[in-house]
Amino acid sequence: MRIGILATSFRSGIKLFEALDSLPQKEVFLLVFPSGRTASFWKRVTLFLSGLLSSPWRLPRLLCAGNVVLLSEALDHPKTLSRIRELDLDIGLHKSEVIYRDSTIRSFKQGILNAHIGLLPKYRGRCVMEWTLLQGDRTGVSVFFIDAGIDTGEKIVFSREVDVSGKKSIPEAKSHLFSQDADCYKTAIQKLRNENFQFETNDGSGERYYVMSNLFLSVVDDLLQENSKVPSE
Amino acid sequence: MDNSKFKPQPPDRRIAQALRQRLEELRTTSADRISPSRSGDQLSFASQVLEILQSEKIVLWMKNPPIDSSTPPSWIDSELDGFSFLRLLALGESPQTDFKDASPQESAEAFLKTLDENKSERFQLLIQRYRCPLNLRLDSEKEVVEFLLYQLMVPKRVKLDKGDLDSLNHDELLVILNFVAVHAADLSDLRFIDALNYYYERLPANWNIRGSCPWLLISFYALYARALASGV
Repeated sequence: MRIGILATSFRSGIKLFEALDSLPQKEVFLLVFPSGRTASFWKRVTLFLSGLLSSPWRLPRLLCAGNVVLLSEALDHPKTLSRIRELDLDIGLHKSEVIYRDSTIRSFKQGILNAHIGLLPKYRGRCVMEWTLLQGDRTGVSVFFIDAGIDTGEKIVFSREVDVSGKKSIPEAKSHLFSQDADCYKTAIQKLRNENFQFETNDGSGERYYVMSNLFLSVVDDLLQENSKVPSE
Repeated sequence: MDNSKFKPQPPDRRIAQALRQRLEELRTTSADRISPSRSGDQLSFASQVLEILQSEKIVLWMKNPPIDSSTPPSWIDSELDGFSFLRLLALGESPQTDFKDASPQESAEAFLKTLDENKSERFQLLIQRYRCPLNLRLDSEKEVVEFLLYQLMVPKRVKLDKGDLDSLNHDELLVILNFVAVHAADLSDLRFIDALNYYYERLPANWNIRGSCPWLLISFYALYARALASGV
């Protein structure tokens, strides 16, 4: 299986790259692209140097082997799309902050996977961890194939509840959920290799959530603090 | 990944507490936010809203929410125009209504298309269709309400966060805020009241409204207070 990690920085992408090392029968590529329309020469130099600092031994070797691809244009640029198609990738792994267009999604044979920090289909959109806690539900991560909508991709590979008790603040709890991505992507890839695998369906029964007000964010923070004081059994 | 330790506490009490706190804050700052001199031709309306927010009447609203949050059995008709209806709702009164089985000729789906194709006329289109904004609670209008929420929390929010309110159509923004405030009294979906929370926190107190109905900001604050009162 040929896998492409889609990242806007070496630093975030390389961690996921290394975490996928243990997967058998795969070839992984790290595609680093600019978060804006294009990356200037100096921006690319800065990106490269910051990557070098985070992984001084691995990055040069990966670059030489062709496993790290530095893209100078946005993901939906024809030049970028053509480069991705040349790589003949089966699956893309979302590790950036961008919303993908159809043309980019179609450049991967199976599509692009996203480790979303909410349980689908109920929680789509922004601040889903906060909304989950505010409504007294269990937090978790869902890995699904994205489409051009906001968390509306129909094919869910799996969803998993993730405990955030003990986390004292929203950033801490969110960071804990985001840190699950490497493990979640590995599990998803293993599941997809199983001949008898069946997708769960994102049936649109949930709601789209939006950025939360400071008033409700303070309620969520209080709930987390209160919960972090509950002694573990 | 064991989730057995996670024991979410029912947050209802905390939410009610937060809504009460916000209502108190709105009452305390209402004199700064609601300036009768900026109410256009609705000077007495502004004074009435101020009086309500600063009096004990609001305590009655808490005990007995003035907006009936139930879904109407069918399309509501009224002799009143949309503006008068909104002002009465904002003052905690129940306008005379008549239930009709006749929905508007244009379906909600077709209406959404019209809204999309006529961006500059959205204000007029909305106020005409929802002469009685309680009709937004009907199941048939769910997609329209979602569209209004999306408008508030995505494209208009981006401008609000950038401090670029001048590039927005103020009449349209205000009528959407009013309609969402009417809908928000039904607290079974907290996304609506939270959109109001978000705008309350970020709208400048000295916002210089450029539009034909500056009093819609005053009715927004009153309807927001009513929605908050229904949750405490």
